Amino acid sequence: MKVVCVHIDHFAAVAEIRECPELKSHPIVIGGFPNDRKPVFECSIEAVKWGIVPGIPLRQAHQLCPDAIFIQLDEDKYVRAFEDVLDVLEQFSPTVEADGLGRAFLDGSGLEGLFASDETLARRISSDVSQQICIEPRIGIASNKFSAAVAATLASANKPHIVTKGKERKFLASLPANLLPISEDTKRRLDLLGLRIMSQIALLPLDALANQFGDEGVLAHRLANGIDERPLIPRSKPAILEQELSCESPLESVDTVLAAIDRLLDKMIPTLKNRNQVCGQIRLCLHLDGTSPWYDSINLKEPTDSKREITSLIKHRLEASHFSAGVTEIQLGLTQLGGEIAKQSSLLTRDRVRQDAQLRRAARQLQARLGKNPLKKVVQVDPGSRIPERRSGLADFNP
Amino acid sequence: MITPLHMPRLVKILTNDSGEPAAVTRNGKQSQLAAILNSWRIDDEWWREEISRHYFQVELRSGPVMTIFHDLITSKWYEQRY
Repeated sequence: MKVVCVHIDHFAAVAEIRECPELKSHPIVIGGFPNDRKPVFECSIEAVKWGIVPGIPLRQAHQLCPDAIFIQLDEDKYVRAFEDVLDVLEQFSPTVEADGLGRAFLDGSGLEGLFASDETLARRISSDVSQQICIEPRIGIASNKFSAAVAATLASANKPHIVTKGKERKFLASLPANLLPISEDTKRRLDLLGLRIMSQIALLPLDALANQFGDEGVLAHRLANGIDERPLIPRSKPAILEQELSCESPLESVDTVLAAIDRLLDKMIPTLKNRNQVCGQIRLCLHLDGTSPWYDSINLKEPTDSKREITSLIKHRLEASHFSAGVTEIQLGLTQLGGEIAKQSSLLTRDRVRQDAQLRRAARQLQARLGKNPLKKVVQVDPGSRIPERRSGLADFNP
Repeated sequence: MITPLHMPRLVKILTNDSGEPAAVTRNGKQSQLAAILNSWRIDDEWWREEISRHYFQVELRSGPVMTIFHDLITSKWYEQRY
């Protein structure tokens, strides 16, 4: 097997810079504002120079680098950006595995006929990602995932790192043991035992490591010896129903955008119903005239195939948003598709119980506001009476 | 405590020669009747406070339909929601 690892350091920060290139020379901290009681989610290379690392409190990051630019966390944006990278990689191989944000593996087996050498393949992947996504990845190639991942961390944007088959153990021998994908506790214990480089672990008897560290010891031993039989697991693309609409002239009002979305839904909802499916999430991308696109995703409390419900949610979201320019293109996606879910009503009592609870609440509020409960209920007194005023009456209502 | 619903309300009725209603005065405004749609009598509770009423369901010229009755004991006219 030939595994190509594509590695992009500080991916979230890179995605932010891609969207706003003027941020490139500034230290960027992602996670919130300096006063937020949250940890740093990610930071740029410029911020690392100031001692900022993911996981430290935002306040501490601000103390370390007061001039850093703090950006609110938008995980959806980073996931979308990384999916763009994965889409490019799928042009080379159908087997692409995402390993968190910023690292992906692809199966390079059988590409020898298309690319003269591994270096040519690596450079081609690098240039395609760079041209299509404007992000420069680092590429490592080896016979297994771990060696390829380590090779990628050692590569530079201009120079891929290629590990020849059979040379994995030698390649890893002098590298630090903390590159192993094991728990921090195990790494600390290895360090206490003086086991700080791969070759030290590789030379130990497997039984000894297994006795001391269990499964993690076995894994560390195998990886340090350049053996990694973990298969590549292709990413599963989320089922999505998509439609898009380009506008001849920019749409300036929410009503016209909604009318266009209504047209898209007219095409999508019948498809959804024909498949007997419901959607759990709405994704909307509005391309704005002359500025960056506006993205939003709406998670539904209950999956639905109702056009009225979907339109209502989109309308609510659009009316709460502000657009700096007219909309030139609309992309609408319905995701988290699944089978219809039957709703089982409770026997008889559910609505009555809910109504009673609402009435009790209303009575309490009226009592608090007016000082007395003005609610009355109609009661049957003598329903069979021939005299109308004897049939029913109003009684005090104390729910 | 229970407050009765649909209690009779006094109303001013103009009758014709045969004693049937011909016009109703409500809120100071007199409305001519277009038709008497129905009429019936209720005689009840003779064993305590006797009730004797002659009911008319009438249609006003302006369109509404209302129920009125003539209390045959007090000779007063009332409007009542039925």
